[in-house]
Amino acid sequence: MIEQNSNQNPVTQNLPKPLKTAGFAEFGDSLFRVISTLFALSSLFLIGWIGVILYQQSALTRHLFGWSILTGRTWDTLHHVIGALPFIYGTFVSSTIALILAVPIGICAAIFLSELAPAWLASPLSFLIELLAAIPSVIYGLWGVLFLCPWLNNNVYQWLNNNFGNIPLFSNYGGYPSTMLAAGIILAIMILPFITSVSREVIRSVSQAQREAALGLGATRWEMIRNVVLKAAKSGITGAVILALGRAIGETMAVVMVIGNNTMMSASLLQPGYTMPALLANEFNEAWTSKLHTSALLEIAFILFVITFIINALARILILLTSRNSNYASAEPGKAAAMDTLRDILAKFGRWLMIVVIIGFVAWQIIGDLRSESFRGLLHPTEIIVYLYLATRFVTRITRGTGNWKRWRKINNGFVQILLGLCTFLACFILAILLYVVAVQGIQYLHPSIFIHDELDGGMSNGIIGTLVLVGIASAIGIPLGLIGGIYLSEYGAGRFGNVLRFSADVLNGIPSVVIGMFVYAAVVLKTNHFSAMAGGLALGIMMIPTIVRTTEEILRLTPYSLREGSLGLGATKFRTIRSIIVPAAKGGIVTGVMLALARVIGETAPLLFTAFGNEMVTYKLNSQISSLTMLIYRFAMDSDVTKNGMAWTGSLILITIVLVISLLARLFSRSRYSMH
Amino acid sequence: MTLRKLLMKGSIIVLAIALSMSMKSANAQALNVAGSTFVYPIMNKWIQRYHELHPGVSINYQAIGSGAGIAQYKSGTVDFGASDVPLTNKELGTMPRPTLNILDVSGAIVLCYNVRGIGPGLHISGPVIADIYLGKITKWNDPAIKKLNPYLNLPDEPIRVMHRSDASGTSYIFTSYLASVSKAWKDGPGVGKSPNWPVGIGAQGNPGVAGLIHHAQGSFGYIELAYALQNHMPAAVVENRSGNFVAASIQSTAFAVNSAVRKMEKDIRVSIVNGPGVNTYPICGFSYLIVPKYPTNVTHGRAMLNFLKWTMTDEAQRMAADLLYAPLPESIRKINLRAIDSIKVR
Repeated sequence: MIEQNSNQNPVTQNLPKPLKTAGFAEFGDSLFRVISTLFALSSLFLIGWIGVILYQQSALTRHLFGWSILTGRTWDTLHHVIGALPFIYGTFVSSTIALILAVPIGICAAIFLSELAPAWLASPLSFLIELLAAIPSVIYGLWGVLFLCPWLNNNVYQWLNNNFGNIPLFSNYGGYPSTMLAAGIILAIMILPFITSVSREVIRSVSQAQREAALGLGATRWEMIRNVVLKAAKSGITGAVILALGRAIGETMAVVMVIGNNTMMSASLLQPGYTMPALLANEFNEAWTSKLHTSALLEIAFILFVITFIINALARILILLTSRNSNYASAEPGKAAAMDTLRDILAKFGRWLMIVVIIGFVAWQIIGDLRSESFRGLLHPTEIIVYLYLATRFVTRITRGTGNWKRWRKINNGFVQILLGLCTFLACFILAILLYVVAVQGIQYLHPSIFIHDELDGGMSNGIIGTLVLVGIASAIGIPLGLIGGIYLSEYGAGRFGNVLRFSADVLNGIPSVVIGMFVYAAVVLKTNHFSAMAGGLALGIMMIPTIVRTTEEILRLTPYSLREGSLGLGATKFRTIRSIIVPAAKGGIVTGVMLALARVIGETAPLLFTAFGNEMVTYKLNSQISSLTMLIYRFAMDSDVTKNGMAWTGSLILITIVLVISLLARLFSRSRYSMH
Repeated sequence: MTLRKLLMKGSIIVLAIALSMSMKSANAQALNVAGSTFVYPIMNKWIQRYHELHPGVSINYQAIGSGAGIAQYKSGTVDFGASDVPLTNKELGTMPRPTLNILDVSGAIVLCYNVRGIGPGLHISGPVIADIYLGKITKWNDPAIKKLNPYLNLPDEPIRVMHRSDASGTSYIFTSYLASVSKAWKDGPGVGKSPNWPVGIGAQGNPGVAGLIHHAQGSFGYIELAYALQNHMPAAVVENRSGNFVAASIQSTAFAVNSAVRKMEKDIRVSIVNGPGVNTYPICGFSYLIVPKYPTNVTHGRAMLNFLKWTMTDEAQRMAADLLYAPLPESIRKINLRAIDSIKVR
């Protein structure tokens, strides 16, 4: 009651009246909070929408075929037979090859770069590898179809077939340059930089004291790495590998150009195959005459969506519950322990599977060699590798505990170090060849006229301008949603709700671009009845959101908490604090995040095939069809005309230059205060 | 900081230039067309020439395959489509608006190969082609091929079979030829725009298949004649119904077209594969434009009408002949013009 009469109190009467704007400012605060919550919800909402649209629109095939679509071996839309097994099989086989090739090399390179290489070598090499992770997939495809496949066909396939032909994987060489193996190799090269740079980060975060302790106890370098560093970094590396798997499964352009697109489902890797994303890229545009075909393709997209969703969710949960310093609100210890066991079970299962498979194949090959050439058959590469392996095991056993044990460990240490160096060299060498080929081939047709003329007049200006328009639209959609969503997560998203949003952004990041393209086709193009720059920009914008959300959040969290306290203490509202203090302080890092997202979408091809569609002429109209540099590269790469092939290389050179410049600028901006690493 | 400002200014200037350029291009008519890659070489030339004659009209032709062309026409994303397979009456019924098939050009499909030491003039017969595409003949020196080419030194190499991975009118014409010469093909994969190929590797569009053949030794695949011409690829000489070996040319295609003129006066949707005649090339087909009878967009409709009429002029047909598409006979052009005149633009 006394409070209510405070107006009569002489002391308070003399105080200045509270500012009238305070109420408005509070309102502004809550308005911002509501808006940013909505923006932050966009990832969750989009995932749900994608799932629902793809599920609904594929009802027809589910009704007609049910689960049998997963086991049917025939894809014959002419006779209404829908079986997706060849595509599922091809997707898993090609991704498995990619993992088998890329994981050991990638991790070895990461170990070499973070543990062994001197700083003058390590920093340029890791910089190179990080930049290479940004190279668009269509360029890997171009390189694959015009350079790698012919090379493999002339030099590798026959050799594999001759020496390992008893193993079904390398039997039955059909003579095609486009094979499952080629797709696996291209995927491996694509995910290699990703695995290396993520693993390197993880390995670097292992504490120095642990290393010193191991060395102090007398371990060799390699023993220290194996028993201490790798053990500590295990969960992070597992997460990186699973994320890489998700990328490999969803990759479209590089695969469709080299895999051969045939549903034969051969056990041999030297035969053509087919993957789910490749099928979507090949058949998307004609399917819409037949309801069944449309529904079947959307069901494939749905299967792809579910698979990548599960993989990404698994990887994120593994990383999230085992790493201590993530932005996720800390997990309960019980759950973390459960996750540790889950990870160990997965790892153990993987190891046993690999051992069984390898022993099986080696035995198969040796039996085959014995049969065909009796004892002379025991001198082939497979057998020699087995002898070497057995010999090292034998030496390890007899020297253990003897005086030679230490010497043997040292030899081992040196040998492994050389091996790690070789892996790094191999990774850099492959990537350098790629860059070299693009530069040498691309420069031939690099002429001012290709920037001025459109496709009809022998130039590429329609693609270049199209890319700019598309990326502009994508930025207009993706940057505000991403930035404000990121601000929400960093400033308000501390609880469980924030975790859900964070998780959904991470998962959206892993949804293959081809699925997002299908979604925009079904949700926008079919509704508005025409392809448009808007639809293409929307697809790219959706892909930008998660990257920007997560980098913005990460960077805002790095700004010192005292800045917030100081500002709030001076009486600023929360919105004002964010707008005038926190965001400016973190500007460099935010720009970096935006640029990384730009570099990612500028090289996208697959979603544009279904949405922007292409145009032979320059256009700036947002509701008309539009071309892009990547689509031109794809079409020109698959052409028979040598001039067109040459222009594909030139387009790639331009695209790589743009992407690299953006990545370099991003690095430049991130040098400023409160930057990321 | 200065760098950032520079970037800001740069992007503003770029935006301003882009805006001013968009103003300039705003008043041109842009038609969107999509479909067959079979007609793309001639369509491309026609569009360029027509743009020279009528600078106000530009046509954006996306060569994405016949099936896709029909699909996009049906969903209304393009002004008209192009397909090597005409719409049947049943399909016309399912279209959202009254639609016409207009005959466009006729052309030949050739079997190209890339075999070391073998130049142009490989002899081949229908059943052998079918067996290669069924996976029954797998080597270049198979007795069946040797028998047709006793004087060629055929290598002991696998035949690398190439086909289309998208739905294609070229595939439709080719498979209807295979079905007409091989019962095994008819009962097996059958006739269609995207059949279930037993062997081989697939690529997008005629350019894609031509690209595969160009890059792979020992390859064998079917493409439209103009693509073989453009890429200087050797094409096989094919045995026709009368047992003669005929190379694809304007003339041998024209024989196939002329043999069907009588039938076409009733309905232009005819198949001319494996046609009668001593010098007729057996793998020929027509390409059609799928056009709306009552275009909804008046300016686009008028532009389309004028373009269609122009394609029937002597000039346009002569251009077709330069790319080895057989010019349409006078009688068929008349039928076409009548159909074009029935289009009503309000």
